[in-house]
Amino acid sequence: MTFTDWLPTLMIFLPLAGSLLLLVTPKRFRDEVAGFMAALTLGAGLAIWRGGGSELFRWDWIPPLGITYSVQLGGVSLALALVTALMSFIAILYAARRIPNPGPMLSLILAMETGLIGIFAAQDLMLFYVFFEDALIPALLMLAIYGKSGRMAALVKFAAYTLFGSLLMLVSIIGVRYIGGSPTFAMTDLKQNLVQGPAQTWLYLGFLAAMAVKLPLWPLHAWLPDFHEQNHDSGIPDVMGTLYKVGGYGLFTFAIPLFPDASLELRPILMGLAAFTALYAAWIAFGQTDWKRLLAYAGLSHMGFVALGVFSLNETAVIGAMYLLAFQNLYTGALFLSVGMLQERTGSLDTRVGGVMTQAGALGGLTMALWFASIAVPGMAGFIGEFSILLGAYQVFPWLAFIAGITTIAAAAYALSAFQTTFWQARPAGGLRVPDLVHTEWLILGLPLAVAVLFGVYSAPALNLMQPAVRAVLTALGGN
Amino acid sequence: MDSLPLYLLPLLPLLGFAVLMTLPRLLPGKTGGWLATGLVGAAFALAVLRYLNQGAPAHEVLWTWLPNMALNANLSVGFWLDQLSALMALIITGVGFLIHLYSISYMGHDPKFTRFFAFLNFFVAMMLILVLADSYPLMFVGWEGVGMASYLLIGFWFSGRGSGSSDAQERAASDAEAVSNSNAARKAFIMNRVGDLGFMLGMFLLFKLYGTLSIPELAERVEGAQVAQAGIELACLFLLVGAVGKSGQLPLTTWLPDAMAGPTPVSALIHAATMVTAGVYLVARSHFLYDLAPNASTWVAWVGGLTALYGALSALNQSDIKKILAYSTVSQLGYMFMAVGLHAYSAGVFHLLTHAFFKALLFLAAGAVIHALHDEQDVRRMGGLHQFMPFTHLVSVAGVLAIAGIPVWSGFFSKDAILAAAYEQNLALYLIGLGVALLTAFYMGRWYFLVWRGAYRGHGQPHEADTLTKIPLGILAALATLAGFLNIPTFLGGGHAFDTYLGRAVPLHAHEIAASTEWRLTVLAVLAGVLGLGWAFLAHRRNALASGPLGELSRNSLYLDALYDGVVGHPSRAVAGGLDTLDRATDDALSAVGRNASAPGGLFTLWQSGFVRAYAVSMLLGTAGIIGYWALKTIGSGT
Amino acid sequence: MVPTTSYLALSGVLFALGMVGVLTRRTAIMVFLSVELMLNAANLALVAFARSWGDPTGQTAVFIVMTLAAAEVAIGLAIIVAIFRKRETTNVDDLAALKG
Repeated sequence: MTFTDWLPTLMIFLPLAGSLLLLVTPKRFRDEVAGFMAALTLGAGLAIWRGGGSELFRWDWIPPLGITYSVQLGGVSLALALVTALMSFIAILYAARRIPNPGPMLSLILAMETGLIGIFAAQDLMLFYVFFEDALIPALLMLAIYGKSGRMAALVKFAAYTLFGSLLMLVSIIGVRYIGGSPTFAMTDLKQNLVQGPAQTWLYLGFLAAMAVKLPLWPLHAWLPDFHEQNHDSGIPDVMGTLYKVGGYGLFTFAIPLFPDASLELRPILMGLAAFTALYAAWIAFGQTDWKRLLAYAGLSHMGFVALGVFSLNETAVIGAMYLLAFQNLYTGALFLSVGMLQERTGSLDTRVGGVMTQAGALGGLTMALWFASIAVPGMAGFIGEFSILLGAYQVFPWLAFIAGITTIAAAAYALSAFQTTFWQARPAGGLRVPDLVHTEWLILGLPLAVAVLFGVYSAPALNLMQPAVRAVLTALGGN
Repeated sequence: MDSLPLYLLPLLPLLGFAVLMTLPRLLPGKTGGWLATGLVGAAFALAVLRYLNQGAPAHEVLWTWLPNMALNANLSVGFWLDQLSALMALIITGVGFLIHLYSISYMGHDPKFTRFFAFLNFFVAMMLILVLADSYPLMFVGWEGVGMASYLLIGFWFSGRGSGSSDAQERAASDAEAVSNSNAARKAFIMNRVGDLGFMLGMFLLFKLYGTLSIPELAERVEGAQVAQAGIELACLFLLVGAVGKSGQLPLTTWLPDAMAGPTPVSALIHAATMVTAGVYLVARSHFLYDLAPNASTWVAWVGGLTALYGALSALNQSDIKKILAYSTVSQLGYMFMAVGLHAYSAGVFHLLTHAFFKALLFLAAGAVIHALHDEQDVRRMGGLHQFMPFTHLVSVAGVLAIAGIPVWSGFFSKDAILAAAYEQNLALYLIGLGVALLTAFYMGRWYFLVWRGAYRGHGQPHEADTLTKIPLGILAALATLAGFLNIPTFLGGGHAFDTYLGRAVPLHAHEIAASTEWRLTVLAVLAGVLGLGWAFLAHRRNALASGPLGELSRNSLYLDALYDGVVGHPSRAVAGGLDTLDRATDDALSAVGRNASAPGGLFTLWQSGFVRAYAVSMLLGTAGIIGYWALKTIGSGT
Repeated sequence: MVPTTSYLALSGVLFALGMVGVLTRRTAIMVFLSVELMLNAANLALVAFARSWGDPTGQTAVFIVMTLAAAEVAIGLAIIVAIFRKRETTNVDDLAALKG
């Protein structure tokens, strides 16, 4: 065992260690400790990237039950883990600035980061389930501690949807192993013992239930707008919530290799559902007057694209889906934070504030640039994702690509309308004086934007990282 | 010197954008404007050098952009310079340079002076990427990039120009301006997005058909590929949708007149000379596809012809000095579409060139007038300005004569070439074109007489433009006058120099019209121009110009805007509201199911009285019950 | 030697006394005391049976119950004190916050 074999484990549990460390850290050093641990995690991730991804690390965790601790960070999972580490770091930066006495928040962010990176690293279905549920707890706590007046209703709804989906997934996971006859829950073993026939379809549906809630996919998305609307004004929990939309990844890593026939069989229905979700959400976003709800629906629309790419099983589209899934975190997350900054200045999350940009030029400018990234203007990372998804989906079902393509128009409509009524137009007479960005706020919005632009212009490093992983997964389908 | 790499062309203005955006404080006063202008000037010099040393088409690949696409279609960021893109680069940097220069004076008093030049530089960079791109996706980068720049610049005065004013009335006017500016910017972007979707679908289809999106590769593969005719036609129609969106053609035309909300140099550069011609460029660039798609080409030509008519009719009775020019742009772009749709690519691009000169000239002159009259834009409150602004008047005359197609001005040559191509292939289109020529001359005459002749109807003292403004105006006037000589047709004793040059990049379909017929066509075209101007002059003498022909129909541009708002705008907003309600209702329905499922649980809460002693009693009774049952059972079994 | 039945009778009486206490007393302290009484009644029965059968398991169990009872008293009294501080009463009928 060399040091590099331990790096993924290190990356997973460093944040948790930091989270626990915060409990005993004196108040005035908490910001620094949390930031340091998050930076260290990011560093570990970069070290893995430099080494070209890690090997599979396997250890028998609970042998009688066949549960192993199998982790691997490489390809798609590494890219997602890196983005998670980066955005957690950014969230910590902003939490330290915005929230008075941020100890619990910092702790929860770090605890959630562990769960998220664990989700991406897990190569054992049971381990995946453990991390999947593990990440839920900090998310619920953040909502419960820092949420707004309607938080309990939102929390119950969120928990109910998630747990109900998870339960079906757990049943499927157990079914996959015992019906298939695999000795353990590790992916390597499960792939050797695939379930065949109609049972596969049923198990796929069970798995899909959890992933469709987490994607989310219409009609299982109802928890999302409330979750975002009721979360803390700063938008920090929303950043973590956005990172938690791991449904697309779960489908890609587990569902396609384990249920190849079922994925092919259900492809038309699921792609239709995904395209519909994208358009439906974008259209609803157009009618929203609350920034958080708007961003929630915008995120839902992006997830529709991701789902379209994953379900299409076309190589270009799946790469695009993973690319979009990874990089939409950057700008959707940063947009939530910019909304937090807006709220801090104007005291409102309404999209009808007006004229903010006349006084806060940098806030307006960076927000606009992030919106352009979000609506997939070429030259930004989002475009590579959406373009590849649509290009790939068009090769499979042109009409569905067309429906999803209309979303790009609707996206421009909702984004620019809300932006215009908030940042442009006239400042109401007697309106508050709005200060511009200060200190770390520049970094908080600028860094994600810079990364989004970098990977929009020079996408080769990320694509080269993802492509072999995607190809490996799709070969399970028999070279479609 | 031909070793100067192509990427410098877009890179120079892009650098300018980056510097001006991030370090505005290092550039006090007008230095930012001069820096931006200098960079575009350098790009122009570079374009000239590359033009002079032009041999075979140059293909310079920079880095891999979308590697590993399926079917091995690796896409790179690369630039492609042939005669067509070299010409476009010259127009963009040349006209762009002049307009930058003009803006230093025009925007001199604006508080966001440096920001304005940053956006202008960004636009030039994106436009250069658009024309130099070696693949459709990269072209799409520039395509949406210029859309973004256009959005930023139309909305440049997004909070109104008098937002700081203390006068309530002035503030209200400024607020209204803010809303309309912002709406115009958004409208432009969204309508462009509609076109962009068409462009994207076209790319997807081309990729499906040929497995590549690189333009040189595509041009090679198209030749020998066995592809269904319907596929090519459809792909060309998709691309046409994209071109229509960007060039403000029917049916996606209404954003272009609204785009005049931006500062006048923007209208000149983006919404007249360069960006809106991108659609024409796209069709010309994809000539190898359109040559194989006769039906789609006919569509292009008809879209162009109808738009030319629509623009001309709408321009007849506008009263905003810039709106007249805007509708005129729509109409002239229609001419170009007509030409490229008829496979007369060279004629279309030639009109693009001359139009860039004379329309930029007219817009800049209009800008000088607006400045002189302190932001007055209503032509009914102008008049007689030739006495106050002799120089601007002179250059405007050149512009009007050029657009009206009076010989020897440039518009005459380019419009004539298009009409000749139309005459040869499609008589209906020719008649439309001729009619539009007449209307064009009339509304430009109306514009001229209302602004420059008659008595001054406004108040305030107009003043002549300053020197910095005059230089670009003078150069553009000279170009608008003389550019026609680049392409003198054979029957006038010329050598088709321009056609010959461009013929190395796009196919020439030399029309075979007898010289005598050609003379007749020319006379007809000139006659249309003269008649139109004469008509305007007569109306001017009768003082009947203020309200032009067609009355409200023309003023409201054939009610197209109202139609769209009614058919698309309002319904989609209503649907958004409806879907939101529906979404919440779905949610409520699911919650109701949840509540009803948990209702039986409520019965058990009755038990939970909260009295400890009651619990104790129930415990006692329960225990007694269990023991009793057990005892009875034991006794029962014991006997 | 006292017969086992006497011990059992005493245990039963104690248990009944405790039960009546739990059911009739309103003060938390008294309820608590009554519960302890019931617990010790059970202890007595265990010890009696252990002696009667000659098996020390019952006695061991009693030790465990006693330690647990001690721990329970500590926590129970603490809770009662805390409730009293907050509500100014230890009347169990007033403490009905858990009503469903």
